[in-house]
Amino acid sequence: MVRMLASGLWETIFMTLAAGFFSFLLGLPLGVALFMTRPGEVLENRWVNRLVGVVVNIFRSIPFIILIVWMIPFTRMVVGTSIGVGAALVPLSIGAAPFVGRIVENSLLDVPHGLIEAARAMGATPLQIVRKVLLPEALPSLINGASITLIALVGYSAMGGAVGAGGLGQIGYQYGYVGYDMVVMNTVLVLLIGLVFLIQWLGQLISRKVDHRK
Amino acid sequence: MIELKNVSKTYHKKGTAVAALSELSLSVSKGEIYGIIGSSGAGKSTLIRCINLLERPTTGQVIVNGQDLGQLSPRQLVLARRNIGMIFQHFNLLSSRTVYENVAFPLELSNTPKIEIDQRVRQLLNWVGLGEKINDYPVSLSGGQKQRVAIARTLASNPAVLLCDEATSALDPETTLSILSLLKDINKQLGITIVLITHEMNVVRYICDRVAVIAHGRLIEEGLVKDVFSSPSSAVTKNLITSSLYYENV
Ligand SMILES: Nc1ncnc2c1ncn2[C@@H]1O[C@H](COP(=O)(O)OP(=O)(O)OP(=O)(O)O)[C@@H](O)[C@H]1O
Ligand SMILES: [Mg+2]
Repeated sequence: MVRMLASGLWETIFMTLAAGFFSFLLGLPLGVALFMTRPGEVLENRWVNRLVGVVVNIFRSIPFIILIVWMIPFTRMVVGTSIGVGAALVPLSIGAAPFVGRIVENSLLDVPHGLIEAARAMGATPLQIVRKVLLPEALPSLINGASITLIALVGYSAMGGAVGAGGLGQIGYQYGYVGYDMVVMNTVLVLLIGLVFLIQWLGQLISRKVDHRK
Repeated sequence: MIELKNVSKTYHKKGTAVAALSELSLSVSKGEIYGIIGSSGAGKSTLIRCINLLERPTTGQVIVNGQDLGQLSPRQLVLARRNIGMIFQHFNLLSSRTVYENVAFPLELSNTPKIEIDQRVRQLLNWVGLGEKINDYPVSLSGGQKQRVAIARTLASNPAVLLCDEATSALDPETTLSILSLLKDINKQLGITIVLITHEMNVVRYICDRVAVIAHGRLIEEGLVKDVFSSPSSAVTKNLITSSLYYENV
């Protein structure tokens, strides 16, 4: 029992971190593109901005549980199976990427515009502005965004558990909903809550550490 | 050194057009300190931002150091800007970088070797009197110190021109004076041409060789500071001077 819970916890942590990593891999460029093509920004481009915005909004409006099912053919193509931890990573990452995109865009919007101006005046290329001004200046806020994303992913991955993704979600579902075992269900709940608090605490700690604004 | 030819800039905001600059021409010679004054909304910031093409003129030409900036490719413009320094009212230092790293920033942009960066940064920071603060973050500096870092940063790439948009407006009178004398030194010792915008007549009196008066996006008058201040030819200039005197007597 303990071993099962431990491996469930590990699976959930792994899914959350791995999906977090892949969703940032996809979402960071999306967010940067959303920001840089806004009216008045360095790479202002109304059509690209709208196109990316629409795609992001479409993916954000699909409920996660439906996204999992809808993506099954694609998931099979990528990882060769549609059940298990590996298979859950595909819809988790793709489901969270547009969310990350918006979070990144918002973090970049908080960077004082004067800094971009100054960098342009010093002869920074758009890529240099992103790498040397926007991302470092937005780092505290990006880290907070990452912890929000990871916490959302804990929830998503638990939902995935209901359709065979493994992890604490699946244990909670099997022992709670299918066979009613109070102790296991509550333990799962406590573990999930602990995980969320841990992410939040770590996120704040790191964010404060890299923040040199006050 | 700097030449604006018939520069106009029109902003479009929600269907209405605002003419921030209309058919404005002026020229600044090498090595001089050129002041631009005018009341709020006259177009001063728009004008100075046209000089490094942060703002693209709607029509007209901007020629700096013999280059017509409007004709340059994006890549060439980036390179041209490394030759035009700029400092701002609110300093615009990167909060995520130390004083040292801020000054190194423009050198990183041009891929300068690390050893060279190190030499240049230390030399500049000593020169502006901040050798001690090298590893501090901007948040812990006073306004005057921040502006010194900004000046060191913009000098790092050896610009031929320095643009100052209300560079002393956020500072107290004493600090203003120290920054102005630093700018004077920069002009005298490094031969850098300076264009500065201000709403403080004293700044112009203290530091500028020539001054231009701007109202409603047009050049009203221009000349040597002593001539313009002793015998202003336009009502706009007279107003600016009297209101500054009034302000100083309060
Ligand atoms: N980005 C913009 N979009 C629309 N209108 C603008 C923009 N920037 C400036 N303007 C308008 O252009 C005119 C000139 O503005 P500018 O900022 O150049 O004035 P200024 O002389 O620098 O004033 P201040 O002394 O208050 O800084 C103003 O009417 C202003 O409202
Ligand atoms: Mg202004």
